[in-house]
This record gives sequence, C-alpha cells and structure tokens, in this order.
Amino acid sequence: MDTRFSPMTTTTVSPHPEYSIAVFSDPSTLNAILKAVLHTIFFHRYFTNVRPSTQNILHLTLPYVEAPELNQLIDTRIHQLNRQLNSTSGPGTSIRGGIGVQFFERKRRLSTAETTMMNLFGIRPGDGATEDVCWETWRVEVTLAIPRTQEEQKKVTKAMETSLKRTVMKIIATANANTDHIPPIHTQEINPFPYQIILNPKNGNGM
Amino acid sequence: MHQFPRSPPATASPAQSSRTNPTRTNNPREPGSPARAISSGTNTPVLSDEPTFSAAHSTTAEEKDVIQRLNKTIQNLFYKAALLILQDRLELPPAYTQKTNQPRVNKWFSLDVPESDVLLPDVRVWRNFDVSVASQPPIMIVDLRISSKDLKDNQTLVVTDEFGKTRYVEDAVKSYYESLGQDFKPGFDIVVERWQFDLDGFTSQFPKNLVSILPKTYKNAVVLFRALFSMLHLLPAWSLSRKSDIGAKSRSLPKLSYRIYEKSQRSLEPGLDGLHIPLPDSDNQELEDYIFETLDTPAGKFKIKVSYRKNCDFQLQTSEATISSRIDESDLFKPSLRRQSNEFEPLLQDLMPPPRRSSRQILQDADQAQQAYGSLSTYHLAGRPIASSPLSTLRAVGAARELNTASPRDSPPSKLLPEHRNVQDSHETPRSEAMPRNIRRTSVTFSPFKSPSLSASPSHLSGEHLPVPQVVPVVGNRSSALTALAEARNPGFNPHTSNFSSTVPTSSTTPLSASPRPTSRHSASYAHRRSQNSLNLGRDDDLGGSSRTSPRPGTAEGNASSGSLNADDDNISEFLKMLDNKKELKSFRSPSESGLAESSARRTSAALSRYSRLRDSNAILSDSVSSSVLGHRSSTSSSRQLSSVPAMVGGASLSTASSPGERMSPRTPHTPAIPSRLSANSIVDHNAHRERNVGMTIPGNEASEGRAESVQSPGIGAIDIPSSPRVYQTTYRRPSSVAQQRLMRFGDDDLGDIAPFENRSTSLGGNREREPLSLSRMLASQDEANAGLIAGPTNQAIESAPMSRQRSTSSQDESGYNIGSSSRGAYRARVASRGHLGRHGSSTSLAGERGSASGGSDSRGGRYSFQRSRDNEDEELLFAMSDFGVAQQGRRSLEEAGRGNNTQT
Repeated sequence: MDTRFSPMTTTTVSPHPEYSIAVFSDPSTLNAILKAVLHTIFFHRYFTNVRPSTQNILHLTLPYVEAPELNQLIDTRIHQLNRQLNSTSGPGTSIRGGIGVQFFERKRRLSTAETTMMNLFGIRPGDGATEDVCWETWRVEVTLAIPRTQEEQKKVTKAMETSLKRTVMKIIATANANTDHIPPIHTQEINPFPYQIILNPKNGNGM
Repeated sequence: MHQFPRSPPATASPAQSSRTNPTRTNNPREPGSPARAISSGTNTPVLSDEPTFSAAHSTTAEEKDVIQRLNKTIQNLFYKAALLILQDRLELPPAYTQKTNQPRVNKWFSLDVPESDVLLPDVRVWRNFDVSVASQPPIMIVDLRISSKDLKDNQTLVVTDEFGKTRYVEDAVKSYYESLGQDFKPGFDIVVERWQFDLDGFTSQFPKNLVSILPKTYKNAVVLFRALFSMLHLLPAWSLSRKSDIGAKSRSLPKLSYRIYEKSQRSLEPGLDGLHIPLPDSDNQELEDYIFETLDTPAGKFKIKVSYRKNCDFQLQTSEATISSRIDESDLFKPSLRRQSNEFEPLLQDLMPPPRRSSRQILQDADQAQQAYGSLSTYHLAGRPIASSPLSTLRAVGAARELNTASPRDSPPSKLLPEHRNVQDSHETPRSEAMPRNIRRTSVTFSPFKSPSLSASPSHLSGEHLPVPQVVPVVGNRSSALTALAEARNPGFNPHTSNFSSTVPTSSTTPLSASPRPTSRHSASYAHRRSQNSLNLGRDDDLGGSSRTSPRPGTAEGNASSGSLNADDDNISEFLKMLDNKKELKSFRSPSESGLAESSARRTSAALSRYSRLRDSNAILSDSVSSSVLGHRSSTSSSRQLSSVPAMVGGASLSTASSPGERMSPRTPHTPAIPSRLSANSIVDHNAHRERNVGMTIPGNEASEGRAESVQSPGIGAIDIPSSPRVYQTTYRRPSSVAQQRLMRFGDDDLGDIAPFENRSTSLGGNREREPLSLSRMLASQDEANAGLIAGPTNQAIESAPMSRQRSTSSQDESGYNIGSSSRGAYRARVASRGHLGRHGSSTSLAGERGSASGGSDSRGGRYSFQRSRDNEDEELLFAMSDFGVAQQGRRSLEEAGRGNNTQT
C-alpha cells in the first residue's frame, strides 16, 4: 500500500551526469557570454521561486537569475578565468579554459550513535554530519579567439552569436531532458541544492 | 472489468464502476477506457505494477487530497503555460487581490508570473479539469497572431524576408488564397506562433504512491517551465513582443493578439490556416516546430509543442509611407489601366458617341497604359514597385530611350497620373480584388515596356491582351507589382483583353477616327498605343533592328492578331459602317483635303525618295528588312488580315494598310533578336499591327493623311536631313507600333514633348534600318538620334514632321474639326476629331491619299518604300489624329504645309 516512489537515490560516490558546453568568444565579450551561459544553467537548476528576468547579449535574450550571492560568485569566477586566460593569451592565438558548475544535494550523514540520539532524544546532529553529494556537473569549455583584424573580428562576432545561441539551446534541451537524477526538493524557500563554480574542472566526476 | 486490466485493483474496479455509474452522469469509464488502454500500453513508470486507485473512487481523505493536488497540478500545467506565454508576448491586464489590492502573482512551478483574469474565460475548460471526472482533457491551442483587424486604417503590415525584401502581408495572403482557388476576403489573420498543450495518455488510475510521485512531477514541471521561459525568448516571435529590447525599439511593431481554443473546436481548412500562409517569396520553409521534453505526470504525459514562423520580421507601415512606396512603385500605372478597363466596356457599347473623352483623357489613358506597362515592367523586374521598374528599364534602355520615354511619361504622367490615380484607384481596387489571377498574369506579361528584358513574354501578352490597361487597374489595387501582375493575370480580364485586342485594332483605327467612337475603345486603343508607344520608344531602336526585332513582334502579333482577329473583324465591320457614315462627311470635306492629301502625297513621295536615296547606303539592311517584311506578311496572318481589312475599307486604304501590315510582319520576325527595344517594339507591333490594321482600314484616311503628312514631314525633314530620316523611321516604327507612336506623339503634342518622342522615333527608325540590330547599337543609335533630336533641330523637326503631318491631315480633317487649341489641345482635339473625322472622312480622302502615298512609296521602291509608306501611314494616322486635333494642328498644319511646300518645292 505504501509503496513509495523511491526518488532517485543519491550516493556520495555514485557517478553523476556531466554535461559539456562549448563557449566561443573573444576577450572583450567573454565576460558577458560566460555570464549568460552560467545564468542559463542556473536558471534551469535553481529551484527557488524566481521572478523570471532576462538579459540581452549578442542579440539574444537569455534568462537571468536574480540571486545576489549567485551573481557575485559568477562574477568572481569569470574574473578569475579572465585573468588566467589573459596570462596565457597572445595575439592571434586561441586559448582554452573552462569553468565547472556543480550541484549538490546536502545530506546528513548520520552515524549509528547519531541516529540513535535523534530517535531517542531528538538531538540534531551537528554540521559536520552533513554531506554534499554532487548530482550534476556542467563543464563550460571556453575557446578564446583573439582577432587581429576587423574582418576577423566580424567573423568572430558572428561566430560568437551563432555559438552562443547553440550553446543556450543545448543547455535548455539538456536541462529539460535530464531531470530524473535531480534530488527531491523539500523546500521552496531556499535553494535546495548547494552549488559550486570552479575553474578548470578536471575531466570526470571528480572535477 | 476489461476496463481495468490491472489485477490488484481489479476487484475494486468493478465496484468503482458500479459506484461511478449511478453518481456521475459522466461515466469516466467509457471515456476513460480508451485512455486507459493507451496508458496501459504506455504505462507510466509510476503505475507499473503498483497498486492503483481510481480518482473517482478515492475513499480516504488523503487520497482525495492527493487527487486534488494532482488536479491542481494538471490544471496549472495548462493554465500557467498559457499565462507565461501570453504575459511574455503580450501586455495582459494585471489581476489584483481583493483585500490588499496588490497584483496577484502566480507562483506555480517556482516561477512568479503576474496573474491576469482575462485568460480565465478562455482556459476555463482546463482550469476546471478534474482527473476524477473528465476524460482526457482537450488539447489546448494558443495562437499568437497578427490580425488585420488590429491594424489601424492607415497602417499596413509588411514582412521583410531574409534578403531584406519587403512584402505586403495582405498581398501575400491574397495571392496565396488565389493560388488555392479560394475567395479572398480583405483582411488576414497571420499566426506567428502556435502553442499546443496536450495531456497524452490520460489515465485516472493512479498508483497508491501518488503522494510521493507528485513532488517529482512538480520538480520536473519547474524545469519544464524554466525551459519554456527560456525558449520564449529564443523564438522569432519574441522580437514582436514589446517587452523585447531587440525588436521593439527599431521598428513599428504590429499588435499581437492571442486566441486560446480547443484543437477539436477548429477544423481549419488545410492551407487556409493563418499559420501556414506563406508570406515571404522564398522557397525556404517558413515554419519550424520545437517540441519540449515530455513531462510525465500521474495522469498522463504533458506535451508542449510550438510551431512558429521563422521569419517574424513584421512591421507596420503607415499609409503614407505605403502609399508613397506603392505609388512610386506600382500604383502610378495601375490607375490608368483600371480606368481604361472600366471605361472600356461602356465605350465599347457606345462606340459611336465620340467621346467626350477629351483628348486629355485619351492621352491620360495612353499615359496610363504606358504607366501600366511600366508597372508591368516593374513587376517583371522586381515583382514589386511598378514605377521603379519602368524607370529602371528606361535607364537601362539608354539615354536616348530615357529621353523619349521619360518625356512621354514625365509630361503626361505628371499631369495625368494624379487624376487617374484617384479615379482609377477607386475603380481598380475592386476589380483587382475581383480579378482572377489569369488576368493578372496576362497583365504581367503585358508589361511590354520592359520589353528589352521581358521582351518575349511581354510582347505576347501585349499582342494578345490589350488587357494591359486592365492590368493596370489591377496594379492600382495596391500593393506590389506582383499583385498587380497577378491581377492582370486574372482570367476575368481576359475577356476584356480579348475585347481590347479586338477593340484595339479597331481602336488603332479608331485612334485616328477613334475619338468619335467609343471613347472607351479609343481610349483603350490609345492606351494600348501609348503603351505601345512607350514600347515604341524602345521600338525606335527596334526600327533600326526591325529585321531583328521583327521575329518577336511577328509572333506576338500573330498571337494577338489571331486571338483578336474575329473581334477585329467585327470591329472592323463596325468601323466600316462608321466610315461609311462618315465618308459622307469626309467627302464633303475631302475635296480640299484630297487636294491637300495629294500634295502631301507628292511631298511624301519626294521625301521618301530622298530617304530611299539616303538609305541606299543601307541597302543591305533594307534587303534584310524587306525580306523580313515579306516573311512577316506571309507569316503573320494578323498583318495580312489587317491589310485585308483596310482593303475592305477602301482601295487607297488598302495599299496603305498592306504596307503597314507588311511592316508589321517584318518586324515581328526580326524582333526576337533584339531584346530590349526591339522586343518592346515587337510587342508594340502586335498591338500596333492590329491597331494599324484597324487604323489603316478605318483611318485609311488617316493613313493617307499620314502619308500626306509624311510627305510634308519629309519635306520638313528634308531641311533637317537627320531629323527627316528619323521621322520616317519613326513612321516606320510607328507602322509597327504606330499606335504607340501616335500615342507618344499625342502625348508629346499635348505635353509639348512631341519633339523628344519624334526624335526618338525618328532616330530609332533611322538607326534601326541602318544598323543590324545589336542592342548596343540600337541604344547607341538611339542615343545619338536622341541627342541630335533633342539637341534642337529634333524638336523642330519632330514637331515639324508631326505638325506637317498633322497639318496635312488637319488640313483635311481639320477643315471640319480644327478647334484651334494649343498643341496639346490639338492632340486631344485630334483624338476626338479623329474619332469622328478619321473614321468618317478619312475613308474617302484617305483612300485617295493612300493611293498617292502608296504610289509614292512604290516609286521609291522597295521595301523601304513600303515600310516607309507604312510608317508614313502610321504616322499619318497619328498625324490624322493630330490633324483632327485642332489648334496646333491647324497652326502646325499651316506651318508645316508651308514647310512641306517649301521642302517639296
């Protein structure tokens, strides 16, 4: 009777979906493009109630998540990536870099004693008893083009527009098509899933 | 039992069924059964092997609560989707809370969207959906559309395609409906986006763990709606939203409206759906679909699909801009054509009454016709604006042509166009709408003016369908030349066209005598002529290359003539009657005129001889021309017939008639070679031939007069050697495109621009005959001729030539008709008088004149002589027309007579 639909179980070790997104940009537009891509990703994984808003970039209108903390984190990471790319870039070269976005499910990892304490005395375990388990990773692979002439700049700009739209469409389709692994949501008041934005994620789930 | 295939609940199912039947009128089982069958096949993962319960039989409060939650979820899947889309695309009025008077926000699926009550009536079906009661909910369709009802009176919706080409939406819709054979009613309803929401595989049999399933459904719905929101701004229709920063600021956006309905409610006729109406003229597929990920719910699979137009570059144009653009492009010509078409019928009926159609009207008609051609040409070129195209064509033709064409156009159009537009527009629009495509097409073909580029098709069209005028009306309708063309093609016009063709020949004759008759016919004929004249401009060039150009004209003429021969015969018979009636008049007048004619004939003969001498150098060309002429005669039945017709009229006329016919034929064979002017000429020739034939028959007098005139003119021309040959040439061309030339002359006379036209014609003719026919040569020759003509002497020569002709004719006809008006007025008067005089008196006097003329031509010998004589005749016809014209004619005639005498002497 009470057979419950068992939501997708998350284990700390189990592999999780990882999606790769390609971004093509020139240095001057990189910040805006990365911001747009990251916001698009978060918009589809940020389960808090939001008042949908948008941002315009390269003739595209893309979703924007109005969350100060998130915005700050995104800006910080983009700035860091820019510095990294600038340090290795040169005219006429194309540089690669990456940003990873990870979503976690916060679980309480209870020891037997803690479980007993909770059951018997209602004592909540401390913070150390929680565990964040990554359930999804997005890898944003950045290709930075540095045009030397105006003609190249035009080509790059056009390629950026095309690439950005393709990327966004891919994010939307991927995020919408892969939902079974999303942990159950227990609250709408706060963001149920912690997240991380890291530079140059490693291949594989280990980031 | 069979309805509930699953075993565990099986026991319960019968009970449920028993319960439901008595309590609910809507037995869920029946409707539900098919859904269950589907669901059993597609079993959602949740249901597999899980104990289930029926929504209708939920016993416990918990089950009822869960069912209620599921209901809300399903209801909001539909409603929130529609709300989100419409709030994003439109400006929906907000809804307020009753107590706090604060805007209400719909927070379903973690997406805050302002509520709006305006949707409630439209989505009632889905908002009241109950999984325990209803069967599968209907498919919800949300159309975002642009309706003509939402446009203001002064607004026009246009769409710009990927190539930057703008098209009027209503025209596109109209043409599309016509292509489907559907009646087009003004207005349109273009769907730019169609959203479809469906709960597929509906089931009311839920697993016992429904409570635990719902959160996942909700979570996935959150993602789905986020994706929906994101996609909303990537679809082309987003640019139509006033919330969009992309499109709203750069253009005047049309108002979007929406329509929510059940898919089953509307069974749109295939092809007539506002979503599938093709707008841009491109082969690219205009529609695309995007299907969102299916959302599994306990009650079925929720699917979202959107079909959208890839090109949503719509914008509004104000009527001013639209009118100006259209006028510039196409409208100018339309009005005249329409008018002619409108007038035509009555005119045909009232052939006899010499119209009150003032010379002006006739001229206007001619101008209009030209314009129409221009419009047509435009159509051919760009498929858009008529005006532009003609201009461009003219430019392309060459400076000489430009001068010629420009003068006719400019002078008459400027004056005439506005009026015509007004009148014609009103008339034309209805017709255009009513016009079938066939007519439009024909009209399109007509556009002969562009003949150079279009030459072949237009020539045929022109030859066959005088309908051009009709076409013009079509063009007048509005929009792009395309529509005009389409309208022109309309079969409805064909009758008219046929009439025109038939009438045209008559009219051609009529032009001379035309005025009396049916203004309509005459006008039409004039229109044709003028149109042809415009062509003639081109023809002038062709004249030189007559042999080359002749082929086309021959074909076109043959076609047109064949088609209209019967009608022509009828018309001819009528004309003959007319002539008979009027002969008396002429006879009265004739004596003096005859004398004049004779003198003129002598003069002409002398001039012709001179010309022949001059042309001796061009003997080769003449040979070719003669051969071509002969071939034409033999080949083109129409020309022959026409010639025969004149024979009917009178022996004298016959000779002249035959000559023109011959001329026509030669041109026709050669015409094809030369694309531009020649083609145009050829086209003109077709009409002209008919007209000529008619004119020859009827106006035999005119022809004779024309000869006399030509004689005089030559005399005049003799003074100006270059001009005189030109004049002859013009006459030559005129024979082929006599009507046109006449029109041109008329227009010139009226406008005082005669000189340029004549110059053109003359120059063209000379050039043509001499030169073999390359377009470049033609153009160059034209240019030269124009330059020379324009330079100064041309005007005089031209004027003198026509004047002389006119004078001679006028001397004949004018005796009765001279009104003594200005040159323009004279032309007009001429037209009118021609109608009367030409037909009536011309027969007698003309016959005599013709005879003389023919003799002169013969003496001159040769093909040229014939051609020239014909040309002269054509010119004579024109002159006759002019002669009828009063004042100028009178003046000019006097002067010319003097000149002619001088020259002769």
